Amino acid sequence: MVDHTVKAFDSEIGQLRGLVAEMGGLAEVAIRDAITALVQRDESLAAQVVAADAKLDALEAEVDRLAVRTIALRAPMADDLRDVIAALKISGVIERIGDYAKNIAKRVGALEARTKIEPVTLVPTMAEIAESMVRDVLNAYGSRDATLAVEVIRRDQKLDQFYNTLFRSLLTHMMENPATITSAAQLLFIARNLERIGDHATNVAEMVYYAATGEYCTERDSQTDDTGSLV
Amino acid sequence: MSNHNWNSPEAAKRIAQRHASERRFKLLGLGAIALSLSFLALLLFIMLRNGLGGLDWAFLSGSDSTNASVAGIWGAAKGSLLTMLVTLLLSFPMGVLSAIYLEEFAPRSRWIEWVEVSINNLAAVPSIIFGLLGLAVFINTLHLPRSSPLVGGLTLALMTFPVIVISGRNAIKAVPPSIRDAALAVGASKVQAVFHHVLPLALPGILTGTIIGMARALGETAPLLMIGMRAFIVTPPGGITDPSSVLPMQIFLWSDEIDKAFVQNTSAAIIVLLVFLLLMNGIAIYLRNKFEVRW
Amino acid sequence: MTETKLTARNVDVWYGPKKAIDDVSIDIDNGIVTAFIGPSGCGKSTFLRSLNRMNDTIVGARVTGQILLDGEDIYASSMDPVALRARVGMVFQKPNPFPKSIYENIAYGPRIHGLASSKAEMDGIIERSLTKAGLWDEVKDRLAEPGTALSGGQQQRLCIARAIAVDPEVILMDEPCSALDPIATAKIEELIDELKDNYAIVIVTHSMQQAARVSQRTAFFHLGNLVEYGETDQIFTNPREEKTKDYITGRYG
Repeated sequence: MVDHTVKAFDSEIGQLRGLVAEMGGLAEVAIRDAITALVQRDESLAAQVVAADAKLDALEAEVDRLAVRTIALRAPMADDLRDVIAALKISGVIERIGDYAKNIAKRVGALEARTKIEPVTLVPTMAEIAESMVRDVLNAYGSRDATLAVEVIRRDQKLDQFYNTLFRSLLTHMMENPATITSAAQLLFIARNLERIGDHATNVAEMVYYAATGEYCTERDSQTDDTGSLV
Repeated sequence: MSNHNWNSPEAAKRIAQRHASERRFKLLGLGAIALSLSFLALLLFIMLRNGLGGLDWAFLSGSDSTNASVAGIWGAAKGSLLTMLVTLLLSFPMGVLSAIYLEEFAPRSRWIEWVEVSINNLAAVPSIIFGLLGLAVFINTLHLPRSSPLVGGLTLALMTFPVIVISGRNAIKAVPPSIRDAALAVGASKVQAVFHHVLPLALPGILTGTIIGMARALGETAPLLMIGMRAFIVTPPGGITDPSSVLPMQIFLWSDEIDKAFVQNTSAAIIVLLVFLLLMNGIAIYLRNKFEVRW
Repeated sequence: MTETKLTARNVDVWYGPKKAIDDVSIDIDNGIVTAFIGPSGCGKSTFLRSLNRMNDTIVGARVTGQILLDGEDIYASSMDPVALRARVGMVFQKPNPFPKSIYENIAYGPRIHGLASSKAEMDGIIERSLTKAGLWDEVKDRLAEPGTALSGGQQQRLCIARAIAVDPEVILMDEPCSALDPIATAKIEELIDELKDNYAIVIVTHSMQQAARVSQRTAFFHLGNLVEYGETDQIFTNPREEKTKDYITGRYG
């Protein structure tokens, strides 16, 4: 892609994209560390994740400021404009992904150490999918890859299926072992958070698609989510 | 930070040299003006000294005579007036219309280029040639009355015509194309655009050129010599077909006289001629200012 | 209700041996503002001037192809350029009021076309034109003053009023705000927005922001070719052609 005649414009767009990439990296780490802390019942790691979220919030404010400045001073058009708007919206979404990871980390302390819940083995795999969606969607953002973005959107179905399975097995477990309800409930929320992270990654993928092509992605309309009809 | 040291002695010397050459030039220019003006002042002084005494009503209203104390300027003055009238009435419309055609309507062709070159060259032709032309065509071929303001006017009109065309073309060229564009854009035809908009703006320039041409014609002697306006006329001309003289011719004739008494007459006539010229220039400036459109 | 006002098909414009416009076809609709944008020397002004045959005044200019105004070929021998220019008016980059009074500036066009049969009718035309151009209140008490005594922005509005006075169908504007300050520019842009309801307006502009603000359709010209033509918001948010995108995002050159 040819450079802008005014070099400062290029460097500002570059800065914006760099900040978003940085936020994405931090979000990925937050998810990974939160799940590790969960599986190993590591409360100090969990506390680290919670503290690290502040950095994510600060970066989002930085992206806001820089995006508004670029729009005011450069009057970006066409793909530059879509880039800036996308960066603005994506930073908000990543900040929420970070919040969900923080939420997961917060619940680590609430889980009872001695309780054994079988469905918990599904969680790391589910987290892996969510984390991969976040990683890939940020790669798609970096390389303006609309195809990769669409593929990430499709992957959300798998995550939803995982969530459905986990939901059902946790319900069954709770009905059979009422003593584990507290911990199981926490796990339900954690699973819910991971599923939400997947949805947000899908949001980001749609924005990446728009920034790259100028059109709105209709992939999500064809997907179904039947978690609302579970018994 | 500048790379030059503006406070160094070399820089100071260079700047001083530049100031010095500027002063030299100013002095040179002033000297040139002073020199030329002093010559003119000297001329004026001599004329006034010699002629002022002879400027009385008798001089101004009387006609030429062999007796120096009786000879007056009126005959020649009236002849000049009539000749100038004929010149103006012929050269002005022809010159302006030609200028308009050449600038606005003529297509770019070899033929038109020839015409332009010819007109430009005509302006530089020695005036005596026009006199020969007048003699050959107007007097010998067309048998118009010899030494009349009609023939004089015709000859001088031929001489003034190129001057008016050239200055007219320059004046029209100076009108910015934006005015023409504006007129055409509201649906004016080419002719309307030229006569309603371009010509009024070019008028001051055209008038100036005309006055310059007329002033030159007023002072011409050589061509009028050829067509015979050097005769001794005692009565002022009644109309443009009567034999007459003109002011510069009268000055020439009187200066030729052996009788020393005519010196005063000559100088007085020169003063009258100069006053005439000043009057014409004054009218030119007045008309120019009147028609000048601020834009 | 946008019907097509001007249709151009396969138009070439030559200045002597040099081709300035190459095979341009475009439809200009009534009731909207169409903007021509493009880098210097791309031919947008040349093409604009061929829409009202102002190129006829340039020696060596030649136009081939077809340009139709309401279906009539404007270059046919049956079309009088003088009448055409009353139907397709033009406003220029540098305001060029006649060096006459404000009244005379507006009255000249209607007078030569015989649009008013009495002084009262002429006065009416003057008032209507100046009102439509947003200038009436400012000059109604000084119609006898020279048009050149007005400020730059007022002069340009006077030129617009002058163009409106002959009751045109199309108004062509060649960079009308280039010589004006931002406030005068904004007033002219507002005026253009009001005028578009009654005329087809075509504006050539160097400023992409102005084209984006003022027009409903935009045409991008490059080296004499029409590269892209479409709805303004589509051109500026998602242009189809690479060259268009490079130009509007400042990657050109």
